[in-house]
Amino acid sequence: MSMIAGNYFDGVSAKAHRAFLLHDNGTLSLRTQHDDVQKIVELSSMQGQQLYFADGSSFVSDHAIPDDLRLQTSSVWSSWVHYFEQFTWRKSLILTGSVVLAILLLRWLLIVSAPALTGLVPYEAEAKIGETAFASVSNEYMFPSKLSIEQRIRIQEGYDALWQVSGLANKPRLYIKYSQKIGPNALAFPGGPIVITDQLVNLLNDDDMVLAVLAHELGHVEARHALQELMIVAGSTILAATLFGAEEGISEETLAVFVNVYAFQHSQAFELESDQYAIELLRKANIDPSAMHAALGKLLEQAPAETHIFSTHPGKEARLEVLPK
Amino acid sequence: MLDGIRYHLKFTGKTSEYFGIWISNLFLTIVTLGVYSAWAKVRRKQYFYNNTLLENAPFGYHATGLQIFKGRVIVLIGFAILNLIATFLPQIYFIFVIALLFLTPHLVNLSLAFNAKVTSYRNVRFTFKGDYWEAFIAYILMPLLAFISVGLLAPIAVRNLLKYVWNRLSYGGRDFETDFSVGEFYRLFGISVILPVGCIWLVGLVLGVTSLATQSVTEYSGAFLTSGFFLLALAVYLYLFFIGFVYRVFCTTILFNRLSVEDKVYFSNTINPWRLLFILITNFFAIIVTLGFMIPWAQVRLQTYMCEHIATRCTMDFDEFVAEATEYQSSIGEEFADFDGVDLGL
Repeated sequence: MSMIAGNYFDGVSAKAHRAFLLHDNGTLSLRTQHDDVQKIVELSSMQGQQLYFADGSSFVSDHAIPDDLRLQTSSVWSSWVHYFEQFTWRKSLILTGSVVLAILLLRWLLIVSAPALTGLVPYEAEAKIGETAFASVSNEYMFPSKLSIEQRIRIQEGYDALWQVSGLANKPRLYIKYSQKIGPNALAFPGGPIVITDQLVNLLNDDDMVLAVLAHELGHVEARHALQELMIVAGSTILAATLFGAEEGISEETLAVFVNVYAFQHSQAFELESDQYAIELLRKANIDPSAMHAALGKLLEQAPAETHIFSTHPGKEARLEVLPK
Repeated sequence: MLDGIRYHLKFTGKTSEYFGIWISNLFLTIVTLGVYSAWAKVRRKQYFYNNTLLENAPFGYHATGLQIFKGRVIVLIGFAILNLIATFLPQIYFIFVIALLFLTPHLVNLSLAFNAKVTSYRNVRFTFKGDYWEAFIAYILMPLLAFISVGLLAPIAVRNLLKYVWNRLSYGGRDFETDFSVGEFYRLFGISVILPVGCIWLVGLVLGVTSLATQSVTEYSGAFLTSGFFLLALAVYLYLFFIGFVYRVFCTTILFNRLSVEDKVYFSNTINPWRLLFILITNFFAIIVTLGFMIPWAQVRLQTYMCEHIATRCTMDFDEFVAEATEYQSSIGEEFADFDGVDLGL
């Protein structure tokens, strides 16, 4: 049996009455100082040092609620939560570690399930996303190619041959475009359109190297990398939003920046995968696979210094190292 | 009117104590894929309310996790529907946006009423009685006018909003009152908005004139100027955002000087806006640098500062005053019981 001193509030008036709460084997009884109120009470909730009773009245203890009362009157779940909420360094470290582990686990699940999830998206839907994206980029930044007809036909024929040996069910359309803004570059949109710029063709100045780059882009299309990336970004955003949604005061914009930087890190894995795919494809098409190394080397040479966190193609040196010379 | 003892609010929360709650909340939120966050909010609110003492009595927070969860699900479904409409029926999307505009005052009222209703002091609840058109003016019309007037009407909009939120609040049948003069909102507006914005204009003007006078525009500097322009635009945007933030902080000091309860309890404060600003900014950087792990410290620090510098003064005996406050029983409020959890975080 224990007795706790504090203030009693009847729930109708804000007037405080000095009172004592008696705790005896799970039964709570309350008695005000002047004995005008004396009753058995049933606890409905507990907040810090405040106890709220089923009849609408409440009691505020002068000191912390003794543990025996707290444990006896709270459910298994809430006492379990209460246990973790009590600060100790050990528990905090364990919980912090668990939080980090849980985030990594969810992130891993996302990456692992991205290919399976993309498998659920029909090719037509993917192609439609790609066409829309291509149309908007194309209108803004791309202009008709200035290369000679012969050169363009040669590239197209080489590309057709590559596709023949690739065994891809759908044939992504190839566009050759002039673009000062995009510079020497090649892009693969979801489901298809592959774009290379005049600037890239002129820089490489070698048909095999151009085909190596096209093979690499075919790799992106085959593995549906763009769609996977979309899912990873969307998933990470949802994950981050639920995490930080629990915490008010972090702006969505800040969140989006972090998520993008984080999610695009994964694109390096996609690049490496497509490089390997390109090597295989070049071999099948009887083209010297060292063209891949040469093309990447040339691109790397003229590429402006990139900051590593924001680049979508981090570590080009690392990519070069694994390619056959 | 100046007699009566000044009672400071007191915050008894501790960083170490709150850290345990915070990290448990975070952990449970993650493993339940966000579902627990509603219950986490209740735990967080309760910790802060229970440890905020006015005249040695704590506040209580009575929302349940389930209420908050239901409210969030409703809001989430609403947003999902809006997004679907925007994607598949863009032709009629604007109708829904306008409908939402007119629904907003109602949602704001529900949210304010809910938050008041679940807050108690000495086991007596607070009450908020909303009014649709007043809410429409405060939350839709005035912000719109402030925007159209390039911010010149912002002080009136802020004053209107604070008036709406606080004048309609009551405790135990006693109404809160505010006594704001437009002048003081404009005075602070001058110090925290006009002055810094004026300075940046002046700096911009001087830089622009000198750079044009000293160098001819070559192709290189032209490109440099365009890239510089975007950076400048970004900087100006951040600066304006920051100034808006500073102004809101300054307005807090007006609020807690002009708030009273039926000519009996007067609020006052000794908040130093610059000190408060310093706390908010250092909090922000501490949170960023520690990847969020100093959030509990930052929140406890802010609450401690605010409580230390807000006081109440009662012209009669405080105990007598509160003894007369009685639970206001509303029959209308109960109708919305099922739609309770709507909490827009206002």
